[in-house]
Amino acid sequence: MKLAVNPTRMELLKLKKRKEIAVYGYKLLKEKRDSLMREFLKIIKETKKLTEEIEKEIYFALRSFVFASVETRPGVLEEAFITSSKKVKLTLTTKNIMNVTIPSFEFQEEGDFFCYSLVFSSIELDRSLQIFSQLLEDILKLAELENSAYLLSLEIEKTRRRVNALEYVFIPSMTETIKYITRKLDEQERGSIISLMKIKEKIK
Amino acid sequence: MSYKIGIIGNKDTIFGFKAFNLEVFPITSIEEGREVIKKISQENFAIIFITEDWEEKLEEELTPLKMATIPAVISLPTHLGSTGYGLKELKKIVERAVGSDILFK
Repeated sequence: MKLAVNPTRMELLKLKKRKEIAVYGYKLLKEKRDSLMREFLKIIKETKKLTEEIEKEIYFALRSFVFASVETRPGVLEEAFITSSKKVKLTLTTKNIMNVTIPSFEFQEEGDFFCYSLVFSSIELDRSLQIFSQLLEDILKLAELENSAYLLSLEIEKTRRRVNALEYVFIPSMTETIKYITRKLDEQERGSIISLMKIKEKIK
Repeated sequence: MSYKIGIIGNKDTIFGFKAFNLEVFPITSIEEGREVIKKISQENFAIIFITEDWEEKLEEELTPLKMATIPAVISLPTHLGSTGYGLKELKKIVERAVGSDILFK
């Protein structure tokens, strides 16, 4: 589609400069898209594997826990956890991939959660907490990966749209307009030469 | 600086995480969920776990949290087993990034 501009030499120069910048930007964005995609695929594959693993295992833990909470008297569970000295210390560092900030978590476990009375609690509780504690590392890893994948996908979508807009709309319309102006200017030149020749003939 | 980890869901399902001193937010209604999410967004939480059944209901409120670097919002299955919501979310992510589903064929 041709832009609505006056066919003057001034516009032509301006457009040529703009097109140059657009092509340069297009190349950069395309590279950005490709490397974002590479990172994304790496992350998403891992995420999928981890999600499937965790979904399989955490189900048992959660179910045991529901059984445990049914079996024990209300209030006992709250009491059981009051003295738990288990702590998860989470520190956050951020990574920058192509200007997308993605989190990376590091955590340390401290203490122990077996601090409750064995008389009043059921074996289901022990079991579920054990699975939880084994899964904790994986779950935190999953949190990091899934969030990164989400953020990257947003950025990829944005970048891809920009690349496409430049490739299929902006640059072609620039090219067309530049062609149009060039033709128009050439035509003018030819016109003026013809009229000069005519005038010359008349003067003779 | 250390960050907090929160977990949202039905009390019976998630209360076990209290043993790890995570911040547990038991909710029973969407309104409660909204309030919890509001509170979470004001404090420095790095990770929010939410059970699949509630994530489906609170999707709208969670979207702005997801767009930020932290907190990371992750869905967990419930004791009733996985509804496949977590994988469906992943599928959506892949579709958005790649344009078509290349992982779950």
